[in-house]
Amino acid sequence: MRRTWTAAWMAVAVLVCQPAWAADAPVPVRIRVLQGFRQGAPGVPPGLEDLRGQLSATAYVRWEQAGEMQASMVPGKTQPVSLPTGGTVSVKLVEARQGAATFEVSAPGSRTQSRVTVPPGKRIVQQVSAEQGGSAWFVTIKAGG
Amino acid sequence: MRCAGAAPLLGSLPGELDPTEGALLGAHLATCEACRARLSDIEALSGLVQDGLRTEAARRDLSTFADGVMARIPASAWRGAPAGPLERLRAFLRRHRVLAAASAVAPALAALALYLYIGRTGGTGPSELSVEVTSEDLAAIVLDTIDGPVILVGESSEGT
Repeated sequence: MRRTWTAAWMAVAVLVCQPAWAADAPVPVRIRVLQGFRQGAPGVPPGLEDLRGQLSATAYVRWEQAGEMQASMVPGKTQPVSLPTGGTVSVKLVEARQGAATFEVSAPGSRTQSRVTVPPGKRIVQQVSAEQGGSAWFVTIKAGG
Repeated sequence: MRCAGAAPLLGSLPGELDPTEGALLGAHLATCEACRARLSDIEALSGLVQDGLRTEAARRDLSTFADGVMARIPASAWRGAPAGPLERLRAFLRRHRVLAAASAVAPALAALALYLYIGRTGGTGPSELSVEVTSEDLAAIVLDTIDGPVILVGESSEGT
């Protein structure tokens, strides 16, 4: 009986406490820069194994990671991401709520802008450059590190 | 009355004999020294037994005896009727007042917590995947995978 009551009070406390993704709370965001190739030995490097499900859905067969950053973002903050080609991609955290984070990604290289809401554990893979010579640049964004 | 008839009556307690038997026994005892001696022995023995019982009783602490007995008797038994569910509930609440108060407060706190939770999340709850893509001169393709969206741009000059 005492354990049941302890669990009930803890549940109430958890509900009352601030959620991990509450509004205005800093959100750890992991951003990676990838290059995908249409030609070459098919494969995903060991460091990109967590992306295999998304990368294998594209026509690009070989992948390399060119950069990575960890950013602590609050809603409204824009994080510039430099590409090896000299371009810059802007990643803006628009909103962070319990259960979802919304990002805006602006890629001048592909003249593409996206607004994506993803739940925790999901990540965004976005092509940020037009394909040139059988390869293209991508960024991956995941909230929660 | 002879000694054989008087002997069974010697140990009688006061009031046990009817007046006739009492008178006959009294008359016999007045004339029979042996029966008077036997009566004297019986009375002495009875006194010893009584003293022994009193001594043994005094040695024991019986002050909590009644409370102990009453505590072992269920409330439903000494009230004379079996307790119903409502009576048992009342008895439980009387014995566990703090628990009863907490039971009354807990749903209110849970409702308050839920209210605060909904207020903080804007009432939307966990959001589903949402993707909007605009591209000036390249075709955009969105692949929905189990790990999240994949946004690709094609070489077409038609915007999306």
